[in-house]
Amino acid sequence: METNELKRIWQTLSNEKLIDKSIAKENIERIIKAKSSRTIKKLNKKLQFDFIINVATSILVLAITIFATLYLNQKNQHLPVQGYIFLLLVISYYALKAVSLNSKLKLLDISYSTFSILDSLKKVKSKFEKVSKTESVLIYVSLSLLTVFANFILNYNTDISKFSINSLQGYVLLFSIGYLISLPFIGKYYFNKRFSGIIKDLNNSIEELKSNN
Amino acid sequence: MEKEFTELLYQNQGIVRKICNLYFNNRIDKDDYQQELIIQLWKAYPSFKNESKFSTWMYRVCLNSAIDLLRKEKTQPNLIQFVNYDFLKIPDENNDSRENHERLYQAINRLSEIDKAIITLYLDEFSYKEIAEIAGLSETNIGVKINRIKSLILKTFTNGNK
Repeated sequence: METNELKRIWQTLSNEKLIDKSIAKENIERIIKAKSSRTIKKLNKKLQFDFIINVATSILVLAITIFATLYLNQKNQHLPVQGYIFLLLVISYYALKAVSLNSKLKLLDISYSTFSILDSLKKVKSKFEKVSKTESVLIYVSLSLLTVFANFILNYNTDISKFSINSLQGYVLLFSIGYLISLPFIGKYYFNKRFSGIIKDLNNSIEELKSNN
Repeated sequence: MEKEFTELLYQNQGIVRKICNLYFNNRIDKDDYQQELIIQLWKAYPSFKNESKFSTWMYRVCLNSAIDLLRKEKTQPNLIQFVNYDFLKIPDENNDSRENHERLYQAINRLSEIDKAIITLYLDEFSYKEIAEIAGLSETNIGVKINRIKSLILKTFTNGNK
């Protein structure tokens, strides 16, 4: 089969598929007045809802932790060490989830449609990586501050000279150090788990375009 | 600007529908995808400088937006509704041209997003230079790619005829 024959079939096929489906000018005017289509709205809505739920949950758990700590401190009592560790992990989980959802929401906004296909793909990849990196740093700093703050509250009434590693405060401090060291790795693992497919797709498309066949 | 854009889009609307058919043919709400491409065109319209033909600019924006949209869908694949499109339906035996149409459509549908973009431009009579500009590659590279994609399509045709 010749190329011209392929082109001829393509033209007939294209015209055939377009018959009777013309978009009226009024419809074009109506469409361009909308900021986004239902497809994007549908994708956005679910992500936004999940994002709010995760942010609200992490804030709620954080508030409960602070309240419980302060309340028990007044009575010279403490939450058990497992309680602190559990609450910190719960907050971290929801915070990381919120960050990943926010990255997805940002991804829906990224578009470089006026560039060449190759440049557009490269720019999307670079922008997405930048957004995700910035958010990962922000969440790391926030969780670090939170951990320091938790230790501060826990040791508020403690005489530093009497500080012992074999105490609730000591265990929490040890856990906090380990947690802060491992947090970047956990974040990286989580990011890869969530976005490796999208980054891989972008890389594959870029490589496909650049390849010599 | 709105009237000017509407007029230009109205005259070239076949491009939007063609790309929509090619990339989102198996979606239940195909019209929504068509709308999204039109919205993206409208958002990008201020960047249209009359340096190229409107149709060339439209292809560039639509192809990028379609590829973008496919990637965005991957953030929530469970929300995408597909029609039970029978790609392997047996064409009418008495109708050779129908059979060829279906085969060509199937062959193109099986290509990667990038190959689809390149072959669509080629079949729509764009020059190698124009395709190279839209894709962001050299003309030589485009030539090599088109030859490879054509072989793939022709192979599907030959296999289909056996």
